[in-house]
Amino acid sequence: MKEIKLVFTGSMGAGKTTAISALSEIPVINTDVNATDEVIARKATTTVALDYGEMTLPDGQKLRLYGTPGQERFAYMWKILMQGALGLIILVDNAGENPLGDLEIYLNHFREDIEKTTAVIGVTRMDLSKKPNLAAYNDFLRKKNLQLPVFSVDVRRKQNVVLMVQTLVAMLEY
Amino acid sequence: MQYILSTYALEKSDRLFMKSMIEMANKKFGLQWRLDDANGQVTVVDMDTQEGRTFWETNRAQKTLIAYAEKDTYQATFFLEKPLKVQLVTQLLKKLADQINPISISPIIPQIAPVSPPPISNGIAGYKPEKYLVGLLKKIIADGKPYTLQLAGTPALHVVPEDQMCYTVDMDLSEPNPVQKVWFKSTANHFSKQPIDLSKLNLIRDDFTSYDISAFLWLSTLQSSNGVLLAGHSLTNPIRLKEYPNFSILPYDPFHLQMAAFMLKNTASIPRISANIRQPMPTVINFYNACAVLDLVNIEKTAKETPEATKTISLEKKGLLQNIFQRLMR
Amino acid sequence: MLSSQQKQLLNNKLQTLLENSEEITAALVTTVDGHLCAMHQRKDYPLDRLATMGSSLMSLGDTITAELKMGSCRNIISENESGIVTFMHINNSLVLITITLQKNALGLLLAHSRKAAEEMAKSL
Repeated sequence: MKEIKLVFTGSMGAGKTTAISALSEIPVINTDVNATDEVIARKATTTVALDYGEMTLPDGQKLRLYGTPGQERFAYMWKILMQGALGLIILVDNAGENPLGDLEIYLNHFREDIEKTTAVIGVTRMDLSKKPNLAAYNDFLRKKNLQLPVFSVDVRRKQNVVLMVQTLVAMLEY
Repeated sequence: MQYILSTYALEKSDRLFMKSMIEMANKKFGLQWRLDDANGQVTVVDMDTQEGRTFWETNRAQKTLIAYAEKDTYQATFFLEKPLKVQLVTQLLKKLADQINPISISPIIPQIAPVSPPPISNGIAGYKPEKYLVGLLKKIIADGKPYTLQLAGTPALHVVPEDQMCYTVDMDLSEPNPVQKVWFKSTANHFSKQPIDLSKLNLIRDDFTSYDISAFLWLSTLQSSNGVLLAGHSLTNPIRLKEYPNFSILPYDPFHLQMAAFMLKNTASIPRISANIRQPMPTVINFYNACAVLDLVNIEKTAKETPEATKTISLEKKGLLQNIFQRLMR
Repeated sequence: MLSSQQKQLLNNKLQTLLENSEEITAALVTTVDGHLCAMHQRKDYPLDRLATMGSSLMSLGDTITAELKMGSCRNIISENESGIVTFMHINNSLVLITITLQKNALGLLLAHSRKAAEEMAKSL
């Protein structure tokens, strides 16, 4: 049977592992290791292979939730994980140095997949950094000739994660 | 001693406010008024409606009636000025309790058909946001100065455009209770509006829960639109969302997500959106109005509608997507 | 973060490893989060990318071993049509990756690599 999966990607520290944990029925399998580079200033560990969680659907099928490593040098994992996925959730850390630049990296790498499926963008930590605001994200997407839902989210709140996935599903349906 | 008040032809919101004001009057003066439209000893009649005026003419000789209107032009024994104010209502109830005998006066108001809801717009004219809370909020935003809005018997709403926030008591915007629903659909003239002293702003910020102002604009429009399209807008114009509403702030029902997804990906008229999403027209109109109030909509007068069936997905995949959607609603 | 002296030391150890074992074509040390620290090779492999992939693979190995409660992951072996690659921890922060083009040299590759990894761990 074909695997049913969603992929969470996005900047390092944006909350991919937390988002998957919010939905997963099993303890999230992760491949976090101690960071040795500039990441360490913000986060002690970083994901180097994948995060994995599961949800059981009403008909008993499993929805698999994969998280990619955030850093671009692991982009080979992005391609591997995205194969056959229903769609993509991109999380962007608004308190990072260049959030729109980060978003651009993921949009460029996943462009083909986004056009074939769809994507939803969740902007995290807007409480710490209000700029760029959502209007700037929407303008940025327009310039990239993309129309995708963008939300300000706190991935620690399950309802926010549910909203992103439900929206992704709605976008796939229409 | 119990007294019974009934209402005739009042707007739903007015009736609800009346109910809460009765409770306040009972507390204040130790009275025992209750609201019961079928068994009222005294009836409040909305004289600004045709039904109200007809009822008044037919029943004024036999029943104790209160004329509820903006101006007292009816030579009524009992008059209540619009909009409802706690002080006026409580004083009137006290006066009535002193004058009527709960035992001797027992006229039974016949069961009366409720006031019918406003008709759905035919697309020519209709919903005017400036008549509702949403209009007050927009004006305050445009003025850029903080104000407190107060509806009798309900908590104050402090609107601070500088913060893009409203401050009030804790409330669950995703599931407003019936009183809150009425509050959101109340007409602007029911609210009192007081400027906020700038020295008190920080106290307000500290003492109350903050809500994004757009959530109040959104909810007020959704609740007060009543299936009537924005004045000056047309049902037949193809429309498309400029951007997806930020539902992490804006309260939503699950079908709003589907409606927004369809409207983000397709240029279509409201009837077509209604048919594709399988939601009644008034629901789509309410949603459209709210999107338009937040400037999320492009009206594409010259654009053509997206052809039907631009996207077809297999039944199997549709089932799977619905499965996921359902699972997430738990 | 490793000092330049430590990196030099690792480079020297890798050079010795290749000198002592003709079968080993390339060897490198990477941090567990995929940064290349030291390398030595007889070919011209893009070892930066291999360092990053090696960290992913080692981490998956650790995750699988923990899932199965099999202690710590000693090494990961990739046996291929035209050679073998091994991945093993030097310590908690570093991974040694070695490559041979000889299909029958697995035992030798593992033995030399294990010895080199232990020596590196001691000297750091």
